[in-house]
Parts: sequence; C-alpha cells; structure tokens
Amino acid sequence: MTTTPLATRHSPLATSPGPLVELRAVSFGYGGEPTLDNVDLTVARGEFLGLIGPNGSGKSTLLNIILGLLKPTGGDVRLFGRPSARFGERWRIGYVPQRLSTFDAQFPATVEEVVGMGRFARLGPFRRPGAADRAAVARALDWADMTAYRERRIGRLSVGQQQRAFIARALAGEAELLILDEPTAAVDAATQEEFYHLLERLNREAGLTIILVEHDLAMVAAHVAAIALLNRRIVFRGTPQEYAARDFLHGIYSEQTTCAVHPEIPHVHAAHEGVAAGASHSHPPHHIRHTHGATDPRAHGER
Amino acid sequence: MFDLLRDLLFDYTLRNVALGSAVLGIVSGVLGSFAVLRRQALLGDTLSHAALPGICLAFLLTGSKDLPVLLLGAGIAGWLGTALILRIVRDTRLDQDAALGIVLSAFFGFGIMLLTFISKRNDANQAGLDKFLFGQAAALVTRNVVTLAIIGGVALAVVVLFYKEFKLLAFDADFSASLGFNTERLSVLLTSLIVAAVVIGLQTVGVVLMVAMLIGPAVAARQWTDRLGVMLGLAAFFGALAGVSGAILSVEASRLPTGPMIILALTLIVIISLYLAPAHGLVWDWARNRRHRRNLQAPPPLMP
Repeated sequence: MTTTPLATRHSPLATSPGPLVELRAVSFGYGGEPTLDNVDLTVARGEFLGLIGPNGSGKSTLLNIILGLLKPTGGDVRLFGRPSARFGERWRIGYVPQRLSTFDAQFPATVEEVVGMGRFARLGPFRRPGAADRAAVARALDWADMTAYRERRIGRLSVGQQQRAFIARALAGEAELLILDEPTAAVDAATQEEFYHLLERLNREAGLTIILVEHDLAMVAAHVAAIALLNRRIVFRGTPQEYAARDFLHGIYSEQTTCAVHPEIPHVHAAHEGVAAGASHSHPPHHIRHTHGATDPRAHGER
Repeated sequence: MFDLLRDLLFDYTLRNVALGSAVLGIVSGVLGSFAVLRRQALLGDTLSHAALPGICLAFLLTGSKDLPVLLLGAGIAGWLGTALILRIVRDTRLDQDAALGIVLSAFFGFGIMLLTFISKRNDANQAGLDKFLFGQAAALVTRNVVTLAIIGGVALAVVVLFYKEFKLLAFDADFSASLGFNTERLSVLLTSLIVAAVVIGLQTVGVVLMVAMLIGPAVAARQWTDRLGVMLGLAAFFGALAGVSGAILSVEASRLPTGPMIILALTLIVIISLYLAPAHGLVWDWARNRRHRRNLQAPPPLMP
C-alpha cells in the first residue's frame, strides 16, 4: 500500500523512556458514588492496549482526563513523563473521537483540510501551514489510504472513511499516542478488519502507541496484545489470554460472552454460557455488580 | 447606469451609505459564517436586540449622539446580554434557545421603554434614536463611515490572525480542546467579534433586522462551495453586494428605510443561491432526480 515513512519522528525512546500514560490513584466524582475510583493505569511506549469497560464504567471520563479535558478530583496523571497540567505538547496525543460525536456533517471542509487541522497545534499562534505541513498531510493521507478522497467533503464520507480521515488527522500532527474512542461502533465487519489492520501496521511499523477504547471485549481481543478492564477502577490488566483464563467476564458483561483470541497467538477460547451468577467464580469483585445481568452491552447506547 | 456610477463616486450621501453598507456586509458576512457554522446564528439576533438599551443609556448618560459613544453603549449591552445567556444556560435548567428568548425580549423591551422615555423628554436633541430600530443609512456622515471601517477592519484582522483556531473551533471544539487550545477563550473572542459586527450594522440596518445580515450571506455562500476559506470570501462578497444595492435602492429610488432594502436584496441573493448554486442548488437536484427517475423507468422495475 504505502512505503513512505510516516514522519520525521524523533526516534522512539529517545524523547521519554518512561511510560506515555501514568495514572496513579485517579478518582473522579462529586459526592455520591465516584465515576472513577482509584484508577491505576500505565501505558508503555509501543503498547497496543484495549481499554474496555461497559457503559457507565467511567471510560469516557477516563478518556477525557487523559486528553486533559477533565481534571481528576483525586490522584496523579502523568503524560510522557510530565504531570498532565504541565504537559503542553498535546498534539503528541492523537485523539480519534467517536463517530459523528462532535462535528457537523455539513461543515464546509474537505478531507485534506480536516487532516491539515492536525497540524494546527504544532504551528503555534499566527502561523500559517507551509510546505512541511503540506508534506506531513500528504504522508498521513497516504498512510491512512485516504489520498483518493482528499478533495471530498468530510461529511460525505462513510463512517469507516471518516475514521480513517481522523486517524490521518492525528498522524499529520505526528502523534505518538493514538487514542480511539469506539472507532468501529457502526461499521461493517469487512471495514472493521481493514481498520484493525491499519492500526496494527501503525503500531508495528510506525511505532505508534495505541489505546483502543471499546465496550465490547470480543471485538478487541483478537487484535490487541494487552487489555485493561475498567469498571470505576481497573479490574484487570493483562493479555486477553490471561483474561480468558479467568472468570471476570461473566460478572461484568453478560451471561453469554465469547472471547475470541488473535489467531497468531496461542489460542485460548473461553465461552461463558448461562453460568449462574456467582456459581463459578470464586472472588467476583463486588463493585462490578452494577452492570450485572446486562445481556448485551451494545443495547445500552451511551449516546 | 453611468449616472449611478457617478453618484456612487461623487454623491456625498450615496457614497457614504454605500461604503458603510459595504463595510457592514463584508464584516457580517465573515463573522456570520462562523456564527452559522457554530449554530449560533440566533445569538446574533439576541445581541443586536440587546444593544438597544445600551444605545439609549449611552445617550442618557452622556447626552451625546456621537456614533462612537452610542456604539460603545451598544457593544457593552450586547456583551452583557451574551454573558447573561451563558450564565442562564450554566446555572439553570433552561436550554439555550429559552435563554436567548428571555434575554432578547427583556433587553429589547427595556430598550423600547427607554426610547419612549427619551422621546417624551421634549429635548430638541433627542430626535433620531429610533432610527436604530430599522436603520437609516442616509444619516451616515463620512466620520461615521470611518468609525465603522475601523471597527470592521480590526474585527477582520483578528479573524485573519486567529483563522486556524477559529476554523478548528467551528469544526470540532472537543478536538480543538484535546490539542490544548483554550476553546473557552477563543469562543469568547469569536463572540466578541460578532458583537462588533452587530454594532457596525446598528445604524445601517437596525437592531431588528441585523440578524439577517449575519445569516443571509453565510447561507448563500455555503451553497456555492465546500471550503471554509472560499465560503468566507463569498459571504463577504454577498454581504457587500446586498449592502450596496440596498443602499442604492433606498437612497436613489424611493427614500425607503435602508435596513429593509438591504435585507430584501440579501434575500434575493439567498433565494438565487439556494436554487441555482451548482452541487447544492434545488433546481439541479430536481433535474438530477428527474433524470434518475427516467433512467429507472427505462428497464422494467425490479420491485413491484
């Protein structure tokens, strides 16, 4: 597909050897039950992490805290080794929002212009994009395989293409950490496969660190190397295989949850069907009760 | 035609009116585009109505009818109106449109009351404040036009300086915030510029019809292009075109009030754009549909 190197990236590890995201005892909430309670999460450079949580688990809140849109009411957030409040280079985190969540489909902007917006934060005030910026945009379009659509109005793209355009926007800004919020929520299976393929290439070939936020574990398990399960706090952190060996799944999700695992990784397949509540797992964390019994997490749309 | 051109260049009144209306059209075209894209068009309506008590109070306090003084009062009142709307939306359960309605009618009612109070004072100096209701461009003198041009020039310069930030804000405020931009401050800045555009239009089109100058050029321009930069340029052009032709109609032809004439000219431009603009125009849509229907009719339909 493409061979151009993505960007004149400072070599990974050179800039900050530590983890890109470090949350320590992060809480969020005003009175009552907190949305987030003592969340500890570390994301190392080069990781491809699935951050999974059912609706109401606080994953949007966590996402907004990492993006700097919300301040935690307690705990410590460090990004690229610096405290979040003093982390000014926000463009190093490329955010791919949920489909149609924020922008107006009628907005007069072509794909190329939208991807170009990824450069704006790097430019600084009062400066206009130059040749280097245009080159970065062209590279990003190429990587996301969106060059053919660059003159198309963003609102006229299909959902899958819009996601690619937003990825290209993050790439244009030379983001090192890509955060995607339920990117495949409304695309068909074939498009999803292509999409995950792109993410895998970005992770492996371009060295991007990726956090994929999903509420459906089955969707992610086949593609990511590591998962973190969120339900107000991190209830599991490890590989999908390790997870499949344990029995948390049942408590958080449904009576029927299937965990499919990446074909290249030693195959562990776990199916939980109709296990009576509390019968098979020895220590169900008590705080995951709230969502117990939901048969299909997708049925409870957050939007 | 030649007479008209000569008048535009040499007739004192017409030249001022045309220039003042052109400045208004350009500035409100550009800032109205941002207002429309951010779905804040009605904010402009509230701002302009809220300006009326500001004008009256400025006159009552200073006794001066100097345009800069009155416009300063208008600007401050418009600003207070905006702040009040933001407060209401934040601190109560009212939606933005309810807040807009409340602020608009409260400020405008207060303004009309002040206007009546002033006109009953039997003061020789009081005449003419009511021209701000529907605008009276014929009263513009060269000094006024210079004032308007300075306000407009500053507003446009700020748009040029912050173009990429405003573009990002209008497209996706959340993404803009995630990049580290201060969206709140940018939003306040953009709204202030809309206040400036409204202030420029008060004498020419008046508080009642000013919102059309924000919405009309933007809506017309949107039909012709899918690029923001082109849209801003076209909106400025359409705004200026409507301003100048409305001004000519009102001054030359019939001594009709300028504001309504400008708005009528603008409405014509909007209608033409809605129907005839390529890619978006309703006429082409209709022709395309007809062609498709005919193509569909040729082979036997697949479904009954």
